[in-house]
Amino acid sequence: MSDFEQFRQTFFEECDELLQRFEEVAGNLQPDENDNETLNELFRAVHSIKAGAGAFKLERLVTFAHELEDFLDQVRSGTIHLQTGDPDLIVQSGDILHTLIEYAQAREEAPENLEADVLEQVRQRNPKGGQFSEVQSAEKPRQSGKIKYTVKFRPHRELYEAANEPQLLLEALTDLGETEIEIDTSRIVELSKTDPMESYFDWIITLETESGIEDIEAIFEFVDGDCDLSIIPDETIAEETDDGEVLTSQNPIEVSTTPQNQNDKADGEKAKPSKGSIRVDLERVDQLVNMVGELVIAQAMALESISSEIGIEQINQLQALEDLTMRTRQLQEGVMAIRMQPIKALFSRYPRLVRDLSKKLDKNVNLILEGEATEVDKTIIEELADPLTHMIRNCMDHGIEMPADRVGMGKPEEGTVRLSAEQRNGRILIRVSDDGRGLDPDKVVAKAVKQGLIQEGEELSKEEIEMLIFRPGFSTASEVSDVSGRGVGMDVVRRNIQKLGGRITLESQKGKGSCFTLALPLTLAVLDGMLVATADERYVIPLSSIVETVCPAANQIKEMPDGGSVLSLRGNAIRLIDLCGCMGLSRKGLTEPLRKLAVIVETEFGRHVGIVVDELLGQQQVVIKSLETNYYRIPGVAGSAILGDGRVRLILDVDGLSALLPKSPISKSKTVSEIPAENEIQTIASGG
Amino acid sequence: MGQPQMISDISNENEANVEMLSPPKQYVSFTVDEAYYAVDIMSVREIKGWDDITSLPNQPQYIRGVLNLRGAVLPIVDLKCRLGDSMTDPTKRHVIVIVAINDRQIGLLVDAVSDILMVSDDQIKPVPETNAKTDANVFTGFLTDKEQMVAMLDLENLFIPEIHELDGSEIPTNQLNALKE
Repeated sequence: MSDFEQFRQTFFEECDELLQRFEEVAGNLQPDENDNETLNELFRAVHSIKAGAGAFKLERLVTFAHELEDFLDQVRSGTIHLQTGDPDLIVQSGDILHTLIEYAQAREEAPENLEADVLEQVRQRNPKGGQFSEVQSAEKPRQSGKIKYTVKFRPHRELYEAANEPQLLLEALTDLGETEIEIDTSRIVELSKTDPMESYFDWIITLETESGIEDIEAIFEFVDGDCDLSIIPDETIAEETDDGEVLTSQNPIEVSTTPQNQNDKADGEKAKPSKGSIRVDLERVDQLVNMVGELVIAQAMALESISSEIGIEQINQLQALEDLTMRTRQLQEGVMAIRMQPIKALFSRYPRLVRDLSKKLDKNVNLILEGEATEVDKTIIEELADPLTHMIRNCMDHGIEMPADRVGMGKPEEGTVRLSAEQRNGRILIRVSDDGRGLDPDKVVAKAVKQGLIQEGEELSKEEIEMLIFRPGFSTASEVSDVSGRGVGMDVVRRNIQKLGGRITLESQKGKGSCFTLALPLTLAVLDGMLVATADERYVIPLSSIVETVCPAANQIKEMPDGGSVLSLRGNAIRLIDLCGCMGLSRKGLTEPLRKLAVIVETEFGRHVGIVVDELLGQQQVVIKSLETNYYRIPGVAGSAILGDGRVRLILDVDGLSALLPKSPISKSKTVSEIPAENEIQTIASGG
Repeated sequence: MGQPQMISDISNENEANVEMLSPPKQYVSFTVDEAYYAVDIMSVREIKGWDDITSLPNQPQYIRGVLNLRGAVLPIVDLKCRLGDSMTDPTKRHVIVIVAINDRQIGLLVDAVSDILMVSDDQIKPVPETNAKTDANVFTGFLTDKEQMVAMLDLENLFIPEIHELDGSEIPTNQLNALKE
């Protein structure tokens, strides 16, 4: 399946989900009640459909979705009041969307006037609404100059049975450009053995054309599945064609399938969308993932219990067990892979967003995508869409300066927004960076004071200032523009990332640009944890929150009047939490307090806290089990996990733990903190 | 602990009644500190011996911790402690009765399982008004047989969040939220 096909399919799958949601929500609409939550949801659904439809040049769908979106936007902003009949109109519009999408998916033209009636009603309700006139930005810039394609076409007997005529197809190809058609008669058998219904001819067409590969594919659209087809762009140009994917890679000649068997298709062929994937309830996949996780644990337990009794004599049994272990791991990896998708599916949404915004903001911005092949958990991909959109909007709206200003500052006129993904140390790092004006600390502080987030005159480190933008209710934009004002705040972005078990950090240099770094787990099914021990109990600390581990010396620790203690680490004062005390455990015997370890973790607002433990037992992947399934949420505990010994261990929630501390003002760490934050950020980066 | 006096199948005595009333239900009875308690057999999922469990921080005393039951993490309630007495000092001979309450499963730490009783509804007498220290509604009623009183446990009330917050949590959740703000 070509990339384009894959995107197309993804789009229709998304539409399905969005429409389903749209229908569910639209049913709740009441006249005289501009319910914001509902309207937002409707608006977002229509908006997403519009954006996707635009990418696939489904003009009628775009036009209709645009009008509807505009109407909904007016309603949710309160400009238009919902009247009797309006909820029905919205529900009807949903149906129209549905029908239009169905036609689009089948690559058919919808009947004329299908949407006209409803569209007219929508326009009547929203007379000021802008008629849709956006210039269709070409999704794929057409290559100038001609490209040479080699098209190999082998009809199956079904093609003839369906009364298709190869000659017409070849003529259509000829219409695209200059062709050289060769017929391959090598499959012809002895006359006495020929089957009059069978197809024996292959064609090899060399086509020189300005059209893209999709245009060639389009010609063969109606015989899709009834022939073997490979379209190969001339190699020298192949790399440059944006979407000109080599359909059959190495050996195009080897596409020999028994013509009688329609199912047996060459893998290079443009398969029908339904062929490539099946839709499985995510819950089922999760169950499978969990079960396999348990299997791995159970297997480790079994192995552990018998390994002591197996000697070298039973080498065969040992080998069999080794084999079993390996296969179990493979199974686990395979099952995990079901949930993984290349992040390309997500990233490819953004070039259009950037183009559109560039136009709207009169800025010249180039989007660079890197690491699109990085594979990420499906849920993460879905949950990242909105935060990334918001961050890119932020970069473009607040970050990148107007072209004239940029030139004045000696920067290239064209701004750059970079979106990159990579896998590092078992985590996915996603960066959104720009070379714009960066964060102005003074402005941020002034704003935060004005909004009552901090006290006037409070001294903050650079990284604390940067963290301010993640606080609820904070917005640096002096006026809410329709670009980033429409979306969500950075606090929501942060919360979304944290919900995924990730962290977001910001590095910014005034005048040079800023860079958001998202560190996310590879998958949500397992958690990388550090197993720690205190007073005979063991706990798991999520590796994602650990910054570093230190062995404090006596002169680094200061007792606090409230019974707690504070650790001085490279000039910063860090609260220490005694895990043993926090967990209500009684310490057995005397332990030398200085032989303890402090695991420095980062909490929600970027504050660092040290968790005091007796021992580090090593890193471990665990399957997260919610305590809430059979019990209730416990402060300071994120969940539980079953380890190799069969015992349940608690996964600590570092934010919850630090909340168990007596509340102290944010500036508490300031008395000692003289050293600016640069090294702090490096610590975070290296810890992640 | 010695084998407790079995409560015999008391349905025999009331056969005449039983025929006219709702069919008798089966209950599992067990002992805690020589007192008898029973739960509907339909809610019992499994009975297993005491095992080392993982304690939970800052929970009511009667929540002994959580246990791994073939991949499920279940809380274990110390029934003796829950009913207002001191904590059980569990040994290998102690028993965990795993029961289902709505969608949850919990384990009850008891001394020993004693019997399965056939009881019809009319044999269960309502709980009299008391000034007891524990909440009276942890029992649905009492059954008397041969001098033995069996308390029918009301599982839902035994294990509801209100109780567990009031009794134990050192920091009530609302206060916690305030801290987080």
